[in-house]
Amino acid sequence: MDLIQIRELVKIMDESGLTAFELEEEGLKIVLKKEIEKIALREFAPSPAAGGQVFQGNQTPVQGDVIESEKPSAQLPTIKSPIVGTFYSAPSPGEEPFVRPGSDVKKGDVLCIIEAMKLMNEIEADEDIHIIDILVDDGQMVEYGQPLFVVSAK
Amino acid sequence: MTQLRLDPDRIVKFLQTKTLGREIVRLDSVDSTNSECKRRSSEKEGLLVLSEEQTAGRGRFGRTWASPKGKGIWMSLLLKPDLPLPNIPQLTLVGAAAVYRGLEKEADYFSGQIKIKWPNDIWISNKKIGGILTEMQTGAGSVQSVILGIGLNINLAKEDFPPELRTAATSLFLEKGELFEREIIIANILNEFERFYLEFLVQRKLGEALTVCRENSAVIGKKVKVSDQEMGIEARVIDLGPQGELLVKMNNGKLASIISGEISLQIQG
Repeated sequence: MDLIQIRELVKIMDESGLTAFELEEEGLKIVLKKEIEKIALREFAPSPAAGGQVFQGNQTPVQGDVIESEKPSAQLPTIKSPIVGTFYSAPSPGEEPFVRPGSDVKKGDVLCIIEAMKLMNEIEADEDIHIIDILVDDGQMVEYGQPLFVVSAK
Repeated sequence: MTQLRLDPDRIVKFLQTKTLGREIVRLDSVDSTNSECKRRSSEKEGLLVLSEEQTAGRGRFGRTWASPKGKGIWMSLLLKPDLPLPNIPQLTLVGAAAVYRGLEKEADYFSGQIKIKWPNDIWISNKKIGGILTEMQTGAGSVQSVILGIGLNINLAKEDFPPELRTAATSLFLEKGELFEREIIIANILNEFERFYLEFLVQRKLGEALTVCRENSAVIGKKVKVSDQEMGIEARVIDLGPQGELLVKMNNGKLASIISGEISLQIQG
């Protein structure tokens, strides 16, 4: 990859709704990130269905098609959020995250916390897995069923 | 009365529950009752873990919580609700309503002064007296266990609080000037909780618990700042929605619902 290609990538990123992009080739890793407005508010749906998963998000989902097609991750399994809430990557602010891309995780290990109504939902690994990618940022709102991690079985 | 050590038999004497608190573990000291309850999560629903003190009592995000020996209620309940996962966070409001009723019953002196700061804090005369921290373990899309932790400042004296908390926190003792029997308050809370909990399990929605949270809300009608970690916006609280979510009107007139993040009350009403 040369400078022109990298410039091209930055341009694509800039014009797209993407907020994060990662590319890894032999001996080279490119990470692009765009700061976006984060807010714990959604437009109010007048009659939310049980479970509250009908709220409309007001931010572009981070997991875009482009990322998936650039990476082999499109076919790989993901771990999804079981509830609507705020995603926390670490036990408390400033602490080391539970997992990072590249982490090997054992069955029962905590991957993240989703908070809703001050209920801290620890999402645990169902089996031994390898974390390929994390699709959401710390503190971001997530919807019911939204993919959080791209993983592979070990 | 008001002995230093909690007496489980005395709690049982006042219990009217079928399952909650029918198994009690009483400890002199523990890291946190939630952690202990989690270590015992294979036990039966209704297990109650009580400790005279917590050495690593937790608020949200690992914030420490002062829980000195023999002066408060530091307890956790093990629950195994048969409910769809997205409904589980509403249990925080079931807990808040039960604590409200449990306190009101024993200390009617405080009637009208006890408020629930959505969704999990209990206030008396605009100071925090306690809170609820619910934790859940999930895997494979199902609930393994829910741990509902309750911390209440009952007989704490001023010097029991760290100096930085003395203006923001209080205890029943500090407000009333007399000591309270913790066992009765614990039993009251469990009795109320089981009623609200069974209603929630059967109806799959918050019934009377939601009414209690609405009628005694510290935030409805108030201006709040909603923070999602680093940024915040101002809004006025309109009501609680059917699932216990906070309904607010933002400064631009738009309505929004909030289910997570930090809510802080703005001083200007």
